[in-house]
Amino acid sequence: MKILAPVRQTVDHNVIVHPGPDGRMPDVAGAPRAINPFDEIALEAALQLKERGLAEVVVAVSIGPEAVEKTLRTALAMGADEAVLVEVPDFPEPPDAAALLAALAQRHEARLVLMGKQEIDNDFGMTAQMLAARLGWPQAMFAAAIEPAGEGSGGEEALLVTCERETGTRTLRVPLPCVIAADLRLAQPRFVSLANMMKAKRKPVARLSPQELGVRPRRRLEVVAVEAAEQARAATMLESIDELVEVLRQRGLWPAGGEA
Amino acid sequence: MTVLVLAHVNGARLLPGTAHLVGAARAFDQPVHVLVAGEGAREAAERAARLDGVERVLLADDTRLAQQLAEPMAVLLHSLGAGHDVFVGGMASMAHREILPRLAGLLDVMGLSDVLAIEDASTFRRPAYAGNVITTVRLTDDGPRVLLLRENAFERAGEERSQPAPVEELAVPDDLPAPVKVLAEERHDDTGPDLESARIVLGMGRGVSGEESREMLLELAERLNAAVAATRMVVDDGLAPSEWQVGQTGKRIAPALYMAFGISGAHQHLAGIRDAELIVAVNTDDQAPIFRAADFGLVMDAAEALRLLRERSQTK
Ligand SMILES: Cc1cc2nc3c(=O)[nH]c(=O)nc-3n(C[C@H](O)[C@H](O)[C@H](O)COP(=O)(O)OP(=O)(O)OC[C@H]3O[C@@H](n4cnc5c(N)ncnc54)[C@H](O)[C@@H]3O)c2cc1C
Repeated sequence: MKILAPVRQTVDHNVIVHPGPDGRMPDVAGAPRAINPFDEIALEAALQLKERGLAEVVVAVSIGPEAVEKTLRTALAMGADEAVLVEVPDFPEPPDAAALLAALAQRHEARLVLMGKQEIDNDFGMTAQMLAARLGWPQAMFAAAIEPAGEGSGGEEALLVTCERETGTRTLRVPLPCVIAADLRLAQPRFVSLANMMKAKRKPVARLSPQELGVRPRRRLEVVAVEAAEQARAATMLESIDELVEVLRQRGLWPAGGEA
Repeated sequence: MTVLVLAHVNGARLLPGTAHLVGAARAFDQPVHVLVAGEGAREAAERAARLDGVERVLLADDTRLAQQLAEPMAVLLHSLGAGHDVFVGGMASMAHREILPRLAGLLDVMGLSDVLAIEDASTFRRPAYAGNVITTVRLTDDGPRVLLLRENAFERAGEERSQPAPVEELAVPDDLPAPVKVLAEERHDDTGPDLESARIVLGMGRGVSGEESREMLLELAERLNAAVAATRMVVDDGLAPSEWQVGQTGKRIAPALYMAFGISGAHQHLAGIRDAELIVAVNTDDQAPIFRAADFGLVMDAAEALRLLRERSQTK
């Protein structure tokens, strides 16, 4: 089985982003960039499936400007077998990302796409589902564990995917081919050694244009205005628990005679 | 033009988020229909028919819809497409977060998640960068709108109307796909108020260390009729179930009071508590970032604070 592992490049999660001047989108051009943490988890899970003998090949793919090559090098250093860069000047919106990934999944005859549940910059959280819809494949979102499923009645291959729910988890039997979207607890990304990072520098990265995949990316969303989320609240510092209880009591947030 | 709201249902129960979605949908100034899909969901449909502003309730009752799986649900919504130009679901439901983007994929349109405000039929406000910025965005295509709303950000529709809206039972298409099977469901006990609707929430960070402190926090929560939230670190340490996680990748809450105990205030955590009316933080480090995001702060050992609060809540 071949696994397609999309790795989106995002601003490093440690960077706190502020709006740009005059209500523009934040200028993140100079900010450190990294692999989207959820995609990193998904890639780790893909590599683990391969190590357990459940997959043969893991193909990492990144869509974006030339600089995403660095993210693909990280993916290769982690253990991806192949890397594909789809070069577009801007990171595509989810419908185009889904269209490009669908074309790639077909081109590579992948049976599983394993990706993050959301990108930590725009937090859309939609690409995996859109991709599954386009391919007509089933989906398993918010995955926390993946296990092989026993032989189905019709002999078809499937995976058992445990997914996070509001009040616990549920385990799904998902036939292949399918799309799985990783939640935080699916896997713990491995440490990449410097030696592997150096080796990855010499590995090939295949390049494709959106045209070659039959997709013409376009914008469907326009940013009209950007504001800082909230004025910092700047806490009034209290000296004791009694002051705190008084503050809460005044606002009716402390049990006064039984009622909270 | 019609707005179709996907109801939050759990078996025969209509979940409270639905009223918020209906309240929000009225912003379009168009007739609002509510789709109640599930198995044995008539009672939920009748409840939905009592929400102010609902013109019609569509009831799709079918075994294949019982688990709210995305594959059949998206196809069902797609089959209702003609005549509905806006599809509305809510972020509080993981099922909605699975279904609506899949529908957007079937329709080949851009969808929007985390919507905080509806400015007009194409313009919406939503956060980005873990909630550090709020963007106003415009959809530039004409196609249908597929929106996932942050329930807490919208007024709920009233539910006391005397003349309920008609409930129309849909003929569910025969060819609904149902490739995925639910084999097991594990529910953590959910005694106590629901995290997303609780008036008071106590947040547990890594600074609440030791069994005894955690017990005290749970006890205090019970006394205050509060729900308990946790940071990712606490969840990763296996000290709290994952559905307690609040933040960029957990739940987003808007209680009247959030009390953060031993929480550093990483921006990924703050993303989930921004809408709290009042935030109180207890932390031993007077430089902890949480104090810049809180209304009141107390530099104190969390265990000590919890012990004293528990004591005070007993005496009164
Ligand atoms: C992609 C991504 C997504 C994430 N999503 C989330 C999310 O959804 N939610 C989330 O919460 N986090 C999330 N995180 C993690 C986040 O970055 C922080 O690591 C986490 O919130 C920190 O948890 P904490 O405050 O409990 O622990 P720490 O950061 O370790 O802070 C512990 C605090 O306790 C204080 N303390 C220590 N001892 C005491 C004591 N005795 N009494 C009082 N105070 C004490 C310390 O001063 C410190 O401020 C995410 C991270 C990434 C990369």
